[in-house]
Amino acid sequence: MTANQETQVQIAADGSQATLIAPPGLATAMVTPSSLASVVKAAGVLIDKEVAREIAAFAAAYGSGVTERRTIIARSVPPVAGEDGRMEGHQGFELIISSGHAPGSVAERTDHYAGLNYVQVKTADIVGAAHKPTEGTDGRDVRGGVIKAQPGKPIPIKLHPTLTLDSLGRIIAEKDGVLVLRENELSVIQSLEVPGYVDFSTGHITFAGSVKIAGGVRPGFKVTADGDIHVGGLIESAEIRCGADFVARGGMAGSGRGTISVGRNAQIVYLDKVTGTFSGNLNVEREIVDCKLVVGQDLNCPNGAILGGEIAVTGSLVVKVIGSAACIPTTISLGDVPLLQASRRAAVKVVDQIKQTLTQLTAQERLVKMKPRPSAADREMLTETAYELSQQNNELVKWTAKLDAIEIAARERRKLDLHIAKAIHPNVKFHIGEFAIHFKDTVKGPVWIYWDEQRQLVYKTGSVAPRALSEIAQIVRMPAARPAEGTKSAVAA
Amino acid sequence: MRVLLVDDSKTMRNIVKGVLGTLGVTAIEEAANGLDAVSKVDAFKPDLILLDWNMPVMDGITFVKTYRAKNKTTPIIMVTTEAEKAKVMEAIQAGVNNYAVKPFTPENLSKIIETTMAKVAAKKAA
Repeated sequence: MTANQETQVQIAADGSQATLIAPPGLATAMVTPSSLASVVKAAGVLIDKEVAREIAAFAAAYGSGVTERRTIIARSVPPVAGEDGRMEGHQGFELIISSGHAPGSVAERTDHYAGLNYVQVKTADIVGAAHKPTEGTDGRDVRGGVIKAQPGKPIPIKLHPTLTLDSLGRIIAEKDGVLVLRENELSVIQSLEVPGYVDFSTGHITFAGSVKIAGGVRPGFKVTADGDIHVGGLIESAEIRCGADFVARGGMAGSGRGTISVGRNAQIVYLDKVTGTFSGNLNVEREIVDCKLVVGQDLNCPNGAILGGEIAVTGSLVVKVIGSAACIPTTISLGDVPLLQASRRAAVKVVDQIKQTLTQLTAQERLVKMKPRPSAADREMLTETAYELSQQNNELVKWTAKLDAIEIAARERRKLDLHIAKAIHPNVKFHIGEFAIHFKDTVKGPVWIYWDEQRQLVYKTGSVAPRALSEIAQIVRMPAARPAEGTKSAVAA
Repeated sequence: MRVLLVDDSKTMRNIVKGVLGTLGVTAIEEAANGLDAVSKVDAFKPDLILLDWNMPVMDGITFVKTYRAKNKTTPIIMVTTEAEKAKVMEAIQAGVNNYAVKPFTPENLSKIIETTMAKVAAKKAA
């Protein structure tokens, strides 16, 4: 406290405010603005315009000094803390970048299966913006001393070299891949490894490259990859879409809802109540139970069984047991090309439509040409018809070539080569070409069924000469479509 | 090659565009009548003009006469239903280089375009 005779200035310990105190009965000359200012200045208070105004007001209010006057004449200016550095995700990426944690926790999200932990990006995509921390604004106490502002914290997320920050603060992807945030580092990865299960912690996985899942895939989740998929654990009633090779170390228990589509070869421990399409070979280590499968090439299950369901195989089939002693109905279609059926049907339909259009156009052209004196409008119409005929003929050539290519591919892929190591049980039905073959009794293996040189269905056991298949099975010619052709997931070649 | 295509029928323009497409022509400007063509021709600087005869506002033959007053070299092919000899002669005298009578097939028109352009090129070379 500082006094000039009786006038005093009290300054708070932290310098946040200064109070001017004048006791009653002071001489008028002692409470003029200038005399008070000298007291305040002597106390160490910085006199700026605001403080000078307060002192003047104090002097005027003191008047004749009947009572003590006490007024805060100066206050400190508090510092303004700096803003923390942060990243903002642009639309589609915000859940990863802005929140910095698994988006499953976002309250408004309703589809928990679609939780976006893995978001696809392309090179040059602007995925977000980085805002650097600010320094803040320093404050000052009543003496004019600086009160240092707290600077903002740095951005808590680091950028991997697969992302760059430009001068405008934009975060730009340098590679195609998936945007992930792990251990406070944002990166674009091209081979995705999921350390545990595909479940609510990951959401559906959609990835342009290959995906390796250490655990399994929980019910209801989808895994889609353009490259290979490797699953270490059990796949439950999930949806798998694999553009290349597929390996399932834990098998797949589809419970009637699981679906799988594989662009190349597949290696699976077992399949149970699964609907699937495999463009290449399917290798199954154990059993295939009650599945609807279409296999574009060979199905190899040399140590396992096919129990129930409908299986269509274009190439060879090697299996230990088909059916069971409990007579489970099992249907196997062989020697057909189910994966080409859809595209063949589509091509035939287009060719038919083109031919129909050509017939109509030709008839239309003939009618106009029959007029002895065609008008200008007729001539215009004839030009249009001639052009349309030319276009349709070009289309016909194109689609006929396409259909031919499909037929050639079908001929090359189609074969009948069936090896059963142990047994074919009753109630097993084969569709081979236009024949339906029904086994009423158990046939013990090893059995090899194939077409002989005379295009007769024969079977062979051990070193015995081949015999007509009709000796051990009922064979009926059935031109109707095979059941497995209708498998919805059959893809166009 | 840059082609100015003048026809009041959009369908016919599309057909001719299809034919030009098979000849590898992609720089095509369209005009719906002779007057429209007059307004576009200087800026577009075509290598070939394909022209209908009967059009509203300004017909093809009027366009030819107007255009030939200032440009004698750019080839013009009349594509029209007017097949009478007198009409053909009128068009040739006005400055049309070749004549395609509707109905034409895409192959016919292609051949006429190729023949015309070959003649123009030979004339230039000579």
